Order: sequence, then C-alpha cells, then structure tokens
Amino acid sequence: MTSYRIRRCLQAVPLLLGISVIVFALLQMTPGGPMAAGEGAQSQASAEQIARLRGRYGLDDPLWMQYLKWLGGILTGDWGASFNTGRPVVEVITERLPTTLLLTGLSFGLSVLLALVVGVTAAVRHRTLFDYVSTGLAFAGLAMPSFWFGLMLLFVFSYSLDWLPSSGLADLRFRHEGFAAFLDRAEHLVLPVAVLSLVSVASLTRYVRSSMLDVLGQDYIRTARGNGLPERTVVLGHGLRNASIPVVTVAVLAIPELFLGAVITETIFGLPGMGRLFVESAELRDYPVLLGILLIASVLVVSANLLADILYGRLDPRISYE
Amino acid sequence: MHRHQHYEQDHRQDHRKGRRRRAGRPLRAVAPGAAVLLAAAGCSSGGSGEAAGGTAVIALIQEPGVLSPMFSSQSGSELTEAFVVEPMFLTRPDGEQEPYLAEEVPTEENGGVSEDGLTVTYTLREGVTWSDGEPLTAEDLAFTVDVAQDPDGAALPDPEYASVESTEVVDEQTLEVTMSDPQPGYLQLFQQILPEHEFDSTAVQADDPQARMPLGTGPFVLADWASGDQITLERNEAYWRDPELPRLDGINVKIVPEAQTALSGFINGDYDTVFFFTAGDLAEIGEAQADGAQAEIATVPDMVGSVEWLWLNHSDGGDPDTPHPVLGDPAVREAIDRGIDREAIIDDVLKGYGTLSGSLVYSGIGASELEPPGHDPDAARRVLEEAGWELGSDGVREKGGERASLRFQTISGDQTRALYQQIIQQDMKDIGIELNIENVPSNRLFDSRDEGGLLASGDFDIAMSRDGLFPDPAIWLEVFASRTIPSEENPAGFSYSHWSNEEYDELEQTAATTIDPEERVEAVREADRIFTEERVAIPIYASAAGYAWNPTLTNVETDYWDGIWTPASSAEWALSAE
Amino acid sequence: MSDRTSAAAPPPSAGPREPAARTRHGVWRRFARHRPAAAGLAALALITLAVIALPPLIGYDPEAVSLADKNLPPSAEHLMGTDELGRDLFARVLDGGRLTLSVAAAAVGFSMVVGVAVGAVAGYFGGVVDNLLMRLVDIGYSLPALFVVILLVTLVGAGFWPIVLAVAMFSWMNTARLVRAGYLSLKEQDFVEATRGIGAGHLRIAVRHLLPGTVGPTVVTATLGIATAILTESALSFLGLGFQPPQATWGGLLYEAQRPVIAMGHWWRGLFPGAMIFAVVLAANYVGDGLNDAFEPRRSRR
Repeated sequence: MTSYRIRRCLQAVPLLLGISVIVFALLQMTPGGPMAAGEGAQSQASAEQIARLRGRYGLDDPLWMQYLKWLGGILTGDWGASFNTGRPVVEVITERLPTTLLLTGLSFGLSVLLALVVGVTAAVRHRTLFDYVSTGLAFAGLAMPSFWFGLMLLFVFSYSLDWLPSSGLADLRFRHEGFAAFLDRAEHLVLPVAVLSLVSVASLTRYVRSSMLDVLGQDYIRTARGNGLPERTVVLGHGLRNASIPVVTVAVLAIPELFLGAVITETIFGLPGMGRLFVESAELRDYPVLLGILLIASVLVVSANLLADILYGRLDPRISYE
Repeated sequence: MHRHQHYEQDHRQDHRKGRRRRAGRPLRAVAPGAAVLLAAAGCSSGGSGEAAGGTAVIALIQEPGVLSPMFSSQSGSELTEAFVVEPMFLTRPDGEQEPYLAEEVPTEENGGVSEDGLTVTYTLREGVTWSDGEPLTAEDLAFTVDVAQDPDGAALPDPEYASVESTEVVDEQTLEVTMSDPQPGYLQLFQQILPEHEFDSTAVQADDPQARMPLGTGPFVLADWASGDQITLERNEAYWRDPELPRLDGINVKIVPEAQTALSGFINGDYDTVFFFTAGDLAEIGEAQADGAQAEIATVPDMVGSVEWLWLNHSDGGDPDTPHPVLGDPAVREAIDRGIDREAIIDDVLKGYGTLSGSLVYSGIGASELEPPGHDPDAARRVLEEAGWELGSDGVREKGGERASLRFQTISGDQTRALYQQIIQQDMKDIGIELNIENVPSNRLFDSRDEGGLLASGDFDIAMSRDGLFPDPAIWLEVFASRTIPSEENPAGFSYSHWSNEEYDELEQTAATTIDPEERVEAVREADRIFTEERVAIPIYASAAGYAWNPTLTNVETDYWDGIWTPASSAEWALSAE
Repeated sequence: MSDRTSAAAPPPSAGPREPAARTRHGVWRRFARHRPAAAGLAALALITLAVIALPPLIGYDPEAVSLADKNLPPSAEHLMGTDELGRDLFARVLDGGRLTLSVAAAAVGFSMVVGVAVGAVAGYFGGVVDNLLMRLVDIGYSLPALFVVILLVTLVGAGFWPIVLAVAMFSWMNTARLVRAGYLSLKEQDFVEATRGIGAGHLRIAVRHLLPGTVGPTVVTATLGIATAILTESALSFLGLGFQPPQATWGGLLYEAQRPVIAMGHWWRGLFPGAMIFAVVLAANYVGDGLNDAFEPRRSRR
C-alpha cells in the first residue's frame, strides 16, 4: 500500500506540470494577448511605453522561455505582478484568501456535522419517515442550484423579514466589540454558509447513510449486538468507525467543490473572497492573478484527490495505474 | 476615468484624460432635470449643530488599481478627489473657474497671463498645509509638472501638461509656467498637486506608495487600504481650512463590485451613499423610497448629467475611405434617430431620472440645449422607404443586397442599460432594422487598436456609452476630428466614429486655439450644428444630475459639477444624532 | 461536478454485465418499476414537449416589450408574471428552457462522443495509450471546472458553441472512465478471442462487439451529465457570463432577476426559472438513479 501511495504522490507532479502548461497556454491564446489588460498597465499612447512594459513583463521572449520563467517564479514565490494594480499577485490573492477560507471552512464543518448526524440517524432508523424525508431532501438538495437557493433565502430573510443582512462580512457603521462583533459576523455569514453548504450537505448525507447501512448490515455488527453491547456503542463505536473511512474520503473530495462553489456564493453575497476576485480579474484580463488563482485551485483539487486516494484508494473511483 | 464598467462616462483613451477633472467629472449624475428635493431631513443649509464625529460608510463599486488620480485611469480613484486631493481651481456651474488652493485666478487683466498668452503665473494661497503638516509651496507645483512630464514615470497626466515648456519658482507661493503654445486650458492644470517631499525622484512608478495612497491637503487622509475589502479614511487633524472641519472622524469606503449589491445595501441602510449611482439606480431608490426606505435624493436643478450616446461607425470596418454599407446612408441614421422612443426609456426604465438631449456640446462653455426629434416610427419608415430600403420577408429592410442588420454593443454587466438596449432593439425592429445585441466587457470596446479594441479597430456597427460632460468643450470636439481617427498610421486615435468633415475640422481647431471666449463659443456652436445635422452619433438621453444618500448623513451640499463629491462638501458632512 | 455526479448515484461498480440481465426487456421493466425514475422520465418528456410545443400557443412573444404591463405578479393572463419591460415571464421561461435544454443536450452529446472515444481507445488498446489518455482524464478532473469555463467564455465570447464546448469539456471524463473500464474487462472475455480468431479487425470488435456492453453506464452518465450541464451553464449565466440579451437561459433569467427579487421583492422573477432548473435536474437525477438500478440488478437498492 505504501508503495502505491508513494507512486500516487509522484504521479501528482507531472499532473501538476501538465496543468500548469495547459493553463499557461490557454491564457496566451487570447485575443489581444497578455497586454490586453491595457488600463492598469498604462499601455497607452507611446510606443516606447508599450515596448518598455513588454520588456518589463518579459513578453518578448519566446513562449517556452516565458513559461519557464513564469514557472520558476511560481516555485520561488514570485507570482508576478497584477496587470491591473501592479501589486504582487501573491499579495492580492492572500488578501482575499481568508474570506474564502472562512466561508469554505465553516461550510465544510457544517456539512460534515449535519451529514453525520442526519446520515447516521437515517441509517439507524432505516425505512422510517425520518429516513424517507431526509433522503428525499438530500436528493432534492443535490438538484437545487445554489444561486436559486441563495436568491430565495435572500428574498425571505433579507427582503421580507429583514432579519439578516444581504451582503458583506460585517456591519460597516459600528465597530462592534466582543460578543456583539461575533454576533454581527455570524449574522452576515449565516446565509452564505447555508447556501454554500447546500450541495455538500446533501451529497455527504447520502454517503454517510449508505455507508452506515452497508456497515450495519455486516456480521460483526450483529455479533456485537448479540454480545449484549448497548445499541449506542454498536452503532457509534463499531458502525461509525468503520463507515467513516469512505465518508472521510468523500468529505475530502468535497473541499475543492466548496472552494469552487464559493465563486457563486461570494458573488451573491458580496463577500471579498478569491472566487469573486477570479471573476473580477477575468473581466479585467489580469492574467497573473488569474493564473495564480487557477493554480491554487488546481493544486487544491489535486491534493484533495491525492489525499482521498491515499486514504481509501479502493472506494475512490480514480484511475489506478496497473 | 476607467473604461471598465464606468458608469458616468465610459471613456476612451487616456488622451482625453483631461476630462476627468474635477471641473466637470460628473461622477454620478443621477437625478431628474426638474429640481426635486425629496425628504428635507437636514440636507443642504444649516444644521451645523449636528453631533460631531462618527464614521460615514460609503460603498465603492469600482475599486481602482491605485488611488492617486494622476496615476490612474480608473474612475474609482476619483474618490480621492472628493476627500483627500484638492485642486487649484474649482469650476462654477457656467464653466468658469474660481480659486480654491490658488490665491486668485490668473488672467490677462490681473497680469497672471502674459500678453502673448504663453506665460501663466500661479499663486498659492497662504497657509495651506499637507495633511502631514508640511506647507504647500510652489516647489510642489513645479514638482508636479516635472512628474507629469517625466517620460520614465508612470504618470497619466492631463494633456495640458504637455504644453508646458518650463517652470520657474518665483517664491514660496508663486510659480511661473511657460507654455510652448497658447493653452486655453491653463486652468485645468494642478487639479492634483504632488507633495515633493514624499518622493525620491520625478520618475514615479505605479507601485510607488504615493501612487497607491496619495498624500493630500484635503479634509481626510488615506489611512489604510485592504484591497477588495475596504479603504479607510481618517480625519485630517491638520486640515488647513478650518480647525472644526472635517466634522466626521473618518470614512469607511467599502468595496462592493456588484452594483446591485451596493444598491440593495444602500436601500437597506448599510451604506450612507454609494460612489457611483447611475440613472437606473436613482429610479430604483425612488421606488424604494415610496416603499418606506430611508434615502434622500437631491437633484441639481438645471444640471444635465452625462449623455448616453449611440456611436455609429461611419466606416466599413475601420476604413474611413469606404463608408459603412448601412450606417453610411444618412436616411438610415435619420430613421434610427426618429425611431427611438426616448420618452419610454426615460419614463419606464429610468423612472423619470433623465432628460432629452439633442446637441453635441451640452454642458459647459458653448453648450446648446437642442432637443432630439420625437418618437415617430411612421416618419422613420417613410424615410427608409424613400431612400430605397425595402422591407424584406423577414421584417428586415434591404437595399442593393445589403440587409439592415447591425451589431449593437455596449458594456456588459449593467442591468439598466440592458433594459433600454432591448427597448431600442424593439424600436428598431418596428421600423425594419435588425439590431443584434453583443455586449462585451469594456476592455473589448475601448482597448487601443493594437490591443484589438473594437471601437479603435472600427470593428463595430453601433456602440453605446456615456460621454461628453465637460465644462470645456475643446477635448470633446477633438474626439470627432479627422486627425484623431484611429488607423495603421495613427493607432492611438480615438475618433471611433471614423467620420470626417473638413468644415468641422476647421471649427474644431479654432475652438482649440483661440483664447477669445466669444470666438470660441461661435466656433463650438457651428461645429455642433454640423455634427447634429449629420447625425454623426445619436444621443439617447441625458442622465439627470442627482445624488442620493442616507438621511443620517447631514450637511451634504451638492456641487454643480461633482455633486456631493468635493472636499468642500465632504468636510461638512456630519452624522445626525439619531 | 464529478463529485456531484458520483454522489447522485453511488458509484456504479465498473464491472462486467451479465449478458442476460442486459436484455432491453429486463432493463425497461426494472426501470419502470422504479417509480421516481419513471415519474422523472415523464416529467422530462413533459417539459421538453412544453418548451418545444407550447410557445406558439401562448399569446405572448418572449421578446416583445410592452412597458404598460411591466412588473406584474402572476395572474390569469400572465401565469408567471412580467418583467421590467413587460415581457411575459412564462413565454420567456419556455424560450429559455429551449435554449437551456439545447445547450445541455449539445454539451452532453459532445462529451459523450469524446468520452466514449477516449474510453474505448484507452480500454481497448491499453498500455501506453491507456496511460496517456488517462493522464488526460486526470488533468480534466484536476482543472477547476467552473474557473476554466468562466475564463473560456470571457475570453472567447458567449456564443452557443463556446458555451457548449466549455461545459462539455468537464463532463467527458466520467464517461471515458466507465467506458474504459467496460472495455478493459470485456475485452478479456472469450467471445472477443473468438471473434478475433475469425479475423475481425480492431475497429469492428471495438464498435460492434464491445461498445454495446458499455451502453448501460454510458446512458446513466449521459443522464446525470445533463443535470450537470444544466447546472454549469446556469451558473455561468447567473454570473452574467452567458448569452446576450434578449436571449436568455434559465440561469440568465435568474441573473436578470437578482435586482427585482432582492431590492424590489418581485419574487416571481426568481422563483419560476429556478424552479424549472430544479425540476429538470431533479428529474434527470431520478432517471439516472433508476437507470442505474435497471442496469445493475445485483445491487440491492436501499
């Protein structure tokens, strides 16, 4: 198993390289080229200014050299400067990262918690009303577009009832202290977290449930019961423990999904995160920033897949290289 | 101003940067032409007995790359001009200037301008200090000119700086500037002054901390900038004008790129105001007010906001020698003009926050107030029929094998625009012209010819954007002069209409070089007449000049040109005790 | 998206199908017994029929501006209300449905073709070819789908084919994987040896003999792929990056609905287009689930 794991880790490297090449190539092939982000790069009037900027951004080198330079830069922490503001890409992205991490982290936590609670309960109360209802809801949750959900929630809670704010991370006017600050933050995050968690709660719950059902049907469970162990211990102790491995795997895979889903959530709720930065940068053709975010996201996906693979290679339907 | 999603004036190349000068940067004009002052809670006069202190909250829709206007081509940086950076002169409603940081306005009478018009003497008021306590001197003025002219620097100066040949510091308060040619725009200089003591050299780069967060003399100081999140402004304790001012402790500028989110937030009371309301926004605020939302809308009487234009491509794909197969026909242009139901747009989409406008120069010096033709689809159809455009079986007119089918483009992302764009599309459908909407991000439209910008390359049929609101028409007229038509030889050109007319060119030159005000106005009016007759571009409506803010913000004065966004106004803002 | 697909129907085991259970008759019968799936299929058929056949029957042109009727809530005349330009929302929803479903169908079709081709080649030939192609699949899985789609559409423009291709780019992998697995296992079987013995060429074997064996999982993936395609395209349109006005897909209608819903409380603008997306995706998921069961009778359904 260990050699398999090591192999998988090694395989991730060419994968990442391949991704970086594709990403870099994609962005080079755009109309207007990398200099199209005219505004901020001040590429107006004089030809000399343009030439100067081309030199500064290294745009006159042959393509493969640009790629290598860029790749070298990435690995040494120099992700270039934003075409739009001239600030280091790392800085720009790092500024926006915490918001996305907060949102994603909270959603992840919520999803796992809810999924465990509901999924286990549904499995234990198999074929009862609770089971049917929760399964139905989970199935529905998978089908529901998060932005529709968000829009409707905003209509109910923000417009109609006016209980919750419609955007932002915190109240701007007053600087709340202590508990009030916590409440304020919570108020602003309730809806975004709910919206972002929608899909992952639904899919995780289904997995937990089916995984638990699988496990609960096993012989050793019956044996444990037969031995007189309290039901609770049987279910939670033996059952859950064994069911959790595949669940953890799927949970790990949910992380990149959440990260990407944040694009929509951050947009609806006006949160200053990386997802929204991506959309803004795409419109401004700020390639260094775009490349940076794409890379981070890809690395995240690859890492998550790798982790899931290593944790439980069999369940995860990845390619196994025979 | 930044082209990208710029609400008030979508703009062209930076050549015309001069435009974005306080004197006339009607940032957000929003309000109906009629003087309508709603909800009188503490707006305008009086109320200095309001509680001092407090922090106002403003939503900023377009976060700029840098905040120093001299290094930015984006509209967001103009925020700095409302709070931090102060100009030498302020513009009056009629377009004339009056001194602000300057001691007086240099003219020929008072000797400030030499007889040959080449030397101008600028005198600074005494006692003005930068917010760090250093005095403002003529050295700063000279330095500003040097930075503007330094070829190695990243400054994007107003075009007037290009005419400066030399400067001489006469004394602490006085600077003599010698131009190479008579420059009627000499009062447009020094809208922003740079503090010499903060710089190492005149070759200032875009990543210079001063470019990012400039030091100024204004009522507020840029304290912090968390990109994507918030810009924090704090009270300038050393404000030179008055120790009582500013009344506020600070201002938090929250960055909210989604205009809709900002608007909803404003209506909900999250923000005191928004930097960049547009006509459509005001309409919505008006409706929300009716539902009980707390908002104040003040309009500037007799003030007209920026006009939304339909830019017609007179060339065939950028070649000025070949006229556009459809738009080259004056009958088509006339039909379009008459076929648009402008009133419907103003009444139904803008909810009245707009007025009709029919002239090229509609603001400032030389303005005329012509009205466009009324909505007359029958006349439009007749004109087309008579010119030989016959209705095809698919409802689209044809002439000589050419279908009257045109691309119709504007900046994507603006919901209100999308609405009236569709109304126009429908109007044109009614008279037999097919418009295909293909909206794009503003880069696509406004990028230079080399970058593949659609307008500069002549690769468009009809484009729509706002422009033209200036106190001084010289640069506006220049936009349609033949010499500025973009081409292989002139890639930096910005006459996207690709139209040329000798008479107009002559008049435009006259207006640009004559110092005599009467002669200028004559020339401007004539040029306007030619332009309007030829229907070079078609105006749709003029935004109403109005501003909206939360009633908790009091003492808000509206300046004619810049509304509430001036240091004169912002220093007075206070939060009511409620 | 791959997570969602695999989660909607717990991963079908990539194993050989006993030829007996694969008979059309058997599959259909099992499918029909699965109530929700049958209902889902009916719903899909109904909706598809509606978007094609109903528009001419409704009195309203989805693009006709009629300012006198703007912003009306649902009523007898306007079943789903009107928008700011007075256009009937029901007509727009139907129109949008046609566009949404066409994009989804085209995207799925495209990704099926690519997926089957790649999977077949990889599974049949194995070895280096397989490795290479699976690397490609890996990359496909690893690129953050939504990001690249946004990038592509922003750069190339929001036309029908760019959007279709962008969406398709991220859903062919599942098919490829399953088809490959099918080929890998099936090709070892006796009847393949036999066929080769009588001199059949690779192509013939690959297409005529092995391909049908992969129909099951392919159909399931296709169905679920439709759901994913609709969600991806809707997300794209919701961010304002989709089709140009006045064309709109359901996602685009939601984009236009933001302001009216949040600031003005015109709930009908948001409810109906979103409900349609929900309905179709739900139905597709049920059908996919049912098909999954139908093709894999051994698995005890819970």
